Amino acid sequence: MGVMSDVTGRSRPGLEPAEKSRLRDLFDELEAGKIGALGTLYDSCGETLYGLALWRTGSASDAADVVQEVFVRLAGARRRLKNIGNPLAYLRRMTHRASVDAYRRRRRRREDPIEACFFVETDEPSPERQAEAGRASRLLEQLPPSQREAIYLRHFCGCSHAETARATGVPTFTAASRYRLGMQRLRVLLGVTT
Amino acid sequence: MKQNDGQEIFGAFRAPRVPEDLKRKILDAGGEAIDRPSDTTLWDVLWESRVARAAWIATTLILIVAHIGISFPADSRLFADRANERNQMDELKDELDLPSVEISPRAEARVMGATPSAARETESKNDPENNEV
Repeated sequence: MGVMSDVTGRSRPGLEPAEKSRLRDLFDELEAGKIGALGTLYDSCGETLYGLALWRTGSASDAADVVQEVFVRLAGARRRLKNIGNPLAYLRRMTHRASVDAYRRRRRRREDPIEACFFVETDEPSPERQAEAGRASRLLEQLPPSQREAIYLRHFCGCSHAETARATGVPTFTAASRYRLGMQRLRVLLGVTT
Repeated sequence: MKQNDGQEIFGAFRAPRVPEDLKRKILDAGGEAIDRPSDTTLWDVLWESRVARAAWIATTLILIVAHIGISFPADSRLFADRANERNQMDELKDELDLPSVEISPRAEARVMGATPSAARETESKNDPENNEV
């Protein structure tokens, strides 16, 4: 696989205060019982949370269920939202927990995902790029879910190790270590040398 | 590890898009969840209301104090019973603790059936004063 060009545009250096305040306002609206706020929240965070759930569970159908569960729980527990200081961190944490539960349920049933899971996609229509995305997805599938999750939060959500740690409920050192090990293994699998 | 060290791997890719019908499903299920009034649990009430939290803490404290108050006399009775038992055991021990009797070699020889002269002889042999050179 060749080295890919920079088109992600998703690596954000952290949540802007304005964005944080906007999400906080949406939480307030949701608390007041406005269903429209749930839709706007989904538009703002749905894709990020779906990606997080997908990289953690390794199954597209499980990831969709997880995101739905998170938003429905959010709507059900709207009275508790006024004490939430950082809405996105709260949503990430909820998604992480729901994903872990979904992953464990699947393992208990001893089921493998039926469909091939695409962890990454490309907007370029060329078959070579599509094939690269497929290959990268198959290699990512070989990583442990916790390492995959750490990589996703770092590269696709722009989280620091401390934010990753908060989202996944582990010490910062563990989050950093998972990321480092995951990247090392991925490099070996991809044959990338630096 | 540097921030951009994964760019060369993930640079060309984006995370997958969400399924198209997911938003509709979420809004349908979320709307039902919002309208559901019976969602409030005891924990929700405690979370929301300061008065309820204060009442909860007060009740817990009363229960703890009451528990200590009820169990303390029972404990003291138990200690008193144990102390009485110990005293009785000491008395019994005092009664049974008879002074030990030292049996002289002469008496022992007599018990064993020796004649009085032989017993006197045994005693004089065992007397350390007689054995001094």
